[in-house]
Amino acid sequence: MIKNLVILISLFILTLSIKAEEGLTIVAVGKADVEKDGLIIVTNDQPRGLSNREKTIIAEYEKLMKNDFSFYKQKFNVMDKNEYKPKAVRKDYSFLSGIGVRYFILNSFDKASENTLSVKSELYSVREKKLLETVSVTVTPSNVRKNGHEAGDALFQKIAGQTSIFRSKIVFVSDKGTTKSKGIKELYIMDFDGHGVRRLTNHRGNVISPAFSFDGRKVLYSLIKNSRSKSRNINLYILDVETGRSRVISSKKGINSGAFFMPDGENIALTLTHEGNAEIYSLNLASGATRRITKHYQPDVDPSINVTGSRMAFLSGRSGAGKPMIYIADPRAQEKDVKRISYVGKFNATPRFSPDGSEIAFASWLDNRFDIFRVDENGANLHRLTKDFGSNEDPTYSNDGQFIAFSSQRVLSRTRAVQNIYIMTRDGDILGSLTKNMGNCSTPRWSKY
Amino acid sequence: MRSMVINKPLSFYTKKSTAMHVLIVLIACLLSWLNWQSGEKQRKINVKLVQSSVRVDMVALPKRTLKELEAIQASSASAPAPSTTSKVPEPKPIPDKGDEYLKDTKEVKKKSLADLLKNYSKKDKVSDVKKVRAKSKEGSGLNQKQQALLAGLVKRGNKVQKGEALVGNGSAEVLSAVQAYATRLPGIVKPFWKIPSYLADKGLRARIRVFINSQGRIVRAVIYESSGDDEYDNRALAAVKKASPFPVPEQKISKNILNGDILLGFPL
Repeated sequence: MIKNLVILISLFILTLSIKAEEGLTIVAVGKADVEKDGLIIVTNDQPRGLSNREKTIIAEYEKLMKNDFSFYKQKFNVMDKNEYKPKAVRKDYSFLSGIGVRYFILNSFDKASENTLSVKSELYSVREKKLLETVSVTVTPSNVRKNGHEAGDALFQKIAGQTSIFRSKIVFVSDKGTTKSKGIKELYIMDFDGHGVRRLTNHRGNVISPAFSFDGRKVLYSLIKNSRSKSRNINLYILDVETGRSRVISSKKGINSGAFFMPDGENIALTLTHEGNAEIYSLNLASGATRRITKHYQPDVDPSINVTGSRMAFLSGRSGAGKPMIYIADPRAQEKDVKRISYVGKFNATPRFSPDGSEIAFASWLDNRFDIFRVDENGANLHRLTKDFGSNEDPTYSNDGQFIAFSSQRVLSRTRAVQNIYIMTRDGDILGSLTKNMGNCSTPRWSKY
Repeated sequence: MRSMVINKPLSFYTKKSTAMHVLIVLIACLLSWLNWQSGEKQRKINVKLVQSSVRVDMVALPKRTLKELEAIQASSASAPAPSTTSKVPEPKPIPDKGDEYLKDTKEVKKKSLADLLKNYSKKDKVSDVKKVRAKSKEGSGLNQKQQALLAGLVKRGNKVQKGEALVGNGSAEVLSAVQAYATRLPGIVKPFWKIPSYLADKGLRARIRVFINSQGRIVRAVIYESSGDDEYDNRALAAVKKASPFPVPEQKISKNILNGDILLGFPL
């Protein structure tokens, strides 16, 4: 007993004698602001004897590339001044360095045949004073946008070391073609910059909740038919983007909707109500076999899967109180690792994973409208992204996670409102609208390739 | 020997044993009190650190957007620094956000622990010794934990931070004054701390030792720990030099400040 006490006392003395080593006071300044890279994109002297049409191709190629890089305005300062052109053509590195240019892209065109030009796009680093990358493509009036974006992406990758959004596409639903007697919503696809809009469906009904496959080749959507028949079951369709053909893949009783591709491309997650309550299931596209993912007496809807397929974000009423909250779970088993993410918000909707699965963007009802919010996958760092900008819904992350597209609605008068697709950076810097004169556009989904 | 033991009455041993026990308890009390006294200042710093690294959950959706919050932080960082006072400055007031930001139970627990410790320090109870030791251990192990703690501080979320300094040991009063002075520097240097894109995301780190005279001007700034990249080191040095002059240090710490007791970490 006494022995123990002696040990105890000696321990006290020991703690007294411990002194932290002498040190300097260290304070963290924190992460540096990253300077924007000055970038100029110029066209080398054009070959002689070009037709007007061919000159238009050249102009479009240059304009497109400038526009592409301008999306990354946190990263690049696209400098567009005529007097810089000869300096870049002559590779005057010291002048360019002096005005803050870090990279320049020099496009040289050659006539291959009638209305066909071969382009050589060269990327130079002013700091290293050397050519970094050369991309050669052939452009015609019909493929100049596609090939221009691809060339831009290759050069971007050389600078940033990761893929850009330049080749990505967005699907969305538009009510263009709606008449007074008949409201229709069809599925459309466009490039990330709003060009090349193409209609994908012709159901003359209401297409809802589309979803891109991870490779961008297939789109899932649900359809509310306009027909007068008694059966107005909401069925799920799959569409081949290339051929435009679609077919029903789930027509269970009730709602077959809110589908989302699993990363393997062979299974999907979707909401079914055939057993009464809305629950999330996994469905194998080939066999049609279903597996239940959620099991709760409250409704579970709107799954979103991260790129590895290990996490699923969804909405659930299981918190009680009648407010849908965001949860995550492991979709590979039933009710596995369910974790509540959101504890606030009157009405949360459409949780969407960023491509790397580190954050979730969602819409939430605040001050009588929806706005876009962002939260880390573990529930920390809840940020508001939109404010005083109409009612904003349906966020969707870009393939590189740097941008979020969403639909924004403006009330024009008591009876009229217009809804368009907008794009912003993941920090809420709004870059502008992508859709124009397309009626009301909603539910954008950004491809993930 | 044995006979002696037997000869003594039981009461003799009882008294002796009681006296021994009382003595031991008294010694224990005294030691714990001394221990408590000696660790007072350090403990306060520790508690501060713990609080500033505690996660905060929201109880309502934020009204301000991320960009608005960034603008607030930027303006508060570039605002002129207040004149020096002899007191440890209060932590920066959290911008008025109504009741949107309430602290979660975790922090409440930690806070109440801190309060408990404070109360106990007046009462001086033996039973506190364990808690005190747990706390002072955190203090002595500071150097090992610096990286993790600092990293956590930098990753702070949608909230204006409290303290952001980690210190070694020294004369407690001067120390806390040096610390208080040091915590004002990052806000002044940050607006000038810029790097080109090719150096970003490389995980570089430099530490600069600053020598500031009694007028608050930089006398010397030397690289204490190089990042290994000249451009990065130079940018960090340039940021410090551009940020000069700094606030005028108090008289009692001006010697420490002039002797380069402060290290600025870029980023940590």
